[in-house]
Amino acid sequence: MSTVQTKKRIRILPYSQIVGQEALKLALELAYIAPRLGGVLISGQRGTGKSTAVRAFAQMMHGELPVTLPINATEDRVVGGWKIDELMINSKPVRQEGLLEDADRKGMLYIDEVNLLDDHIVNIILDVTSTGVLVVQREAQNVEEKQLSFTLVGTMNPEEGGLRPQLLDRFGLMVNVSAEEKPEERLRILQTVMDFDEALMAEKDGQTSDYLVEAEAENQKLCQSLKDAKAQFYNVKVPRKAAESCVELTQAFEAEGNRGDYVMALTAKAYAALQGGKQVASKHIAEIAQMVLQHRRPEVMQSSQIPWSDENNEKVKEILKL
Amino acid sequence: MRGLACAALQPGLRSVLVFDADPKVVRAYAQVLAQMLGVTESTPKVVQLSAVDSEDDLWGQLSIAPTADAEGTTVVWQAGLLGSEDRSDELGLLVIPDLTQLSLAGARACVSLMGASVAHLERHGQRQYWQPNLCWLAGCAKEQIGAVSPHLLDRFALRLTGKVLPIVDRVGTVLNLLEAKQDSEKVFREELSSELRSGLKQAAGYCPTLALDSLQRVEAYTSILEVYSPRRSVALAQLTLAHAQLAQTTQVTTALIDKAAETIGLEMPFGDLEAPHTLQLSRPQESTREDEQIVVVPAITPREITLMPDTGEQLFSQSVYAPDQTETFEPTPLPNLERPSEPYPEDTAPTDREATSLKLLPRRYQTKTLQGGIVIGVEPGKTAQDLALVSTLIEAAKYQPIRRQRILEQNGQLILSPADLRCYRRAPVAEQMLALVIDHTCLKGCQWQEALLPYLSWAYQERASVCLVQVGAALAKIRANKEVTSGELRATKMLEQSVLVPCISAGIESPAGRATPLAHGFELVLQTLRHVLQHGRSRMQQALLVVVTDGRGNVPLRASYSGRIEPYLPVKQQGIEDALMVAGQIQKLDKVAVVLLNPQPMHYPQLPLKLAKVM
Repeated sequence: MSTVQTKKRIRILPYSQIVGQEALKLALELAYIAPRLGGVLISGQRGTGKSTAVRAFAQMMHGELPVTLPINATEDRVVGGWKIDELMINSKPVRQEGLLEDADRKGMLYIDEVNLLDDHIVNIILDVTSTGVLVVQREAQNVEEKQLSFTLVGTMNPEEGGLRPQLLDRFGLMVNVSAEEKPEERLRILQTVMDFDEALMAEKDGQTSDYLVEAEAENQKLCQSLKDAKAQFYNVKVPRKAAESCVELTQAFEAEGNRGDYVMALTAKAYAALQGGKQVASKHIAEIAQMVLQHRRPEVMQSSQIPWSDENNEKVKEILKL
Repeated sequence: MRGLACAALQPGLRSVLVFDADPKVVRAYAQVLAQMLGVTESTPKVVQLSAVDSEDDLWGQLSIAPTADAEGTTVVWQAGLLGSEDRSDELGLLVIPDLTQLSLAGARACVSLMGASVAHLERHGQRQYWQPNLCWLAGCAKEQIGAVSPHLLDRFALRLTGKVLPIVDRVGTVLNLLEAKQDSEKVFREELSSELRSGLKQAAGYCPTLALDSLQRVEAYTSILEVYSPRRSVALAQLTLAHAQLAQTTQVTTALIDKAAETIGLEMPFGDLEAPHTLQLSRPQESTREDEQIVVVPAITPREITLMPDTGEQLFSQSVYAPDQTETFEPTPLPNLERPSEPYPEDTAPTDREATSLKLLPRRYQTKTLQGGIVIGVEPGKTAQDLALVSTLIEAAKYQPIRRQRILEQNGQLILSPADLRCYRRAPVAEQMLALVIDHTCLKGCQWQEALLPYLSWAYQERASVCLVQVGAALAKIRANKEVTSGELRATKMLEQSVLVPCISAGIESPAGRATPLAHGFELVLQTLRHVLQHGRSRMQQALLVVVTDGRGNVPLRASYSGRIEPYLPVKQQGIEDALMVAGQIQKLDKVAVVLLNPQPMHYPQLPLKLAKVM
């Protein structure tokens, strides 16, 4: 494979320094603790730091940028092709793995501007994520069936259109991100960006930046706490009553299919692990209900821009008797 | 000009949108910016993006090249316009003369790259990721801003004006140009003066920072905008830093923030100038406000937009941060520009683009033989129809060494396989058109929307393009003396790819005006139908013309052409006769089905029937 990357380390705003966007961060963390919940779709206004948050999270947890599927991707890079150098110079057909296999190895596939992806590429991803199997029969390749599994993370700006319901359903969680409204939060965002810029300039000049050192220490701490939560995840119990509440909620919101029940229980369990709980309680379910249910409501299948309302929150509380 | 210097100094500002600039002015800006970047960083590679760039052109593609020993040929990766092969840190200046005309692939690339901390390329066996080092400069007419996706516009950090003020002394200007010893365009090709170069170089050496109260003031400017975006606050903060650098100071004053805001046309409500509300953050405050005497910034005249460092002296009676040595550069003779205003017109502009304008276009054909749109890319093909020959050959070339090992008796000929076939991916072209002529002056009291709906539904179902001719729609501005304007004497036309473009529904619902230039409306629709049905390699199979009118045209065709009408002169039958005459010509067109929706007027009820008969 011909891989070229920049010689410099690509600096992304450290995850621990991201101001606000608590729901977005929580969804990413829950998807890390419980990869089986099927990924996160982050939909939000422009300039709200969606891509930055995903990249920063991957850098914090894995020490590298996530496997990224850009909107310029061609089919051969998604499912794999031949190494062209080997073909031309050594006349040897050597297979080049695609992004889906890379994502399987590293556990996550990030799609920036997922709603702008070519329909043809979307079909391939849907095919693989729904069957869990990659089969390649193209360009004289005959790749044996490969079992693939990865967490799908997508970011999008709904102003440029929504997602097909089939693809929407592949995402376990969905988060709507909007610009911070509180003046003090906005000021903190601005200050953070300017501080980070300043730190980068200092680093460019060969100086050590206290800001980056402190941020790195905070990242380490956060990273460890998430790893602990992931280890704790399997010990968290889901009582029958909690499972019943999950089913009751998905029924009340007329969620499409049965996947919602399972994702709801799994996400509540991950949240309980993150909170240090021993078993899932109603308060855990209440916290994550929106991100599980909002894109599974029947009306959202018609228009992805129907927001989650206060009435929806009240309905969740009522069902959970909170 | 000061704005360009700011972009050269601050990497965060290197996405510049110039409003209402003639392409010549955009090119001039690009030349100046390239030279400035050469001073502050390195001379950029200048690339112009156009309306026809495909994804392969922009990102890169496989190409044929000689082998290392020059005895054969091989397939190599050829970088696209957006980068180099080795992804070095080479600075690039990408120039887009007209943002509304940028290709879809170009717009998608802008969204991916502009302001991004990391860029990814996954194409044709190549995997690359890098930190983009690009500077963007685009021109766009303010009144067409609704045609550009706000998602894309939000990426432009710096907004400048490029609108040249009308020349007051036109005769004098002509005489000066005739007598000038040099080419009038030469001013655009002049090198930056040595003073400016040294000034910029010195400015680049300053690293100002923003104290908390400065950030508060920045927020005060951006929080009152129609749409809040953190990118706008960051852009203003960076612009302020650049102004501080130009003023050769490391401390940022309130006046510098105001000056920066003024550069892009941001305005603050007067009350907010006094004291922005204080917000507590943990950071220690390094206030500079105590020493300042704030005055309202005077209006800048266009002539002041020259290459001069801002010393702050224009704004303060006592400047405490003025550098010891103040340099004044020779003004660079760029044309007089309008004062910047309203930097984010997309917040209020009507939407003139299709929904999901950044998405790759859906396929609308049952068979590929009907395709005819411009080429927007290449994709694997199953038949030899619309074959992309070069892409097919390059694809085949990759496998030649192996195929030759397997098939020995080929005497060096190219061995093709069905898997090599590549065909063009083309933009869809509508095969049907809905032409609407709506006489807005006859609609009062009739249920015309209900009657029109089936035809709009047809246009949606058939993915037909739409031509809307408005007759007698109210104009936004009517002269105070109530004189009839030339605009009122003419019909207007909109031509869009789909009935879903918002300006079509807005146009249909327009209120009624005062005149009824029906003949001119028919003339416009006649010209359009002739063009789409008969011009060049037209793919138009059928047009449906729907007319909503009572037939009472009161503007003769001649008056529409000239834009003038004699006041109080009875037009008698002329407007109606002209309309009937043009309608007769429409009747002669092939492949046009005509429907007239009769509003059943109380007066002259026979007129619509007469018109229908003629058409």
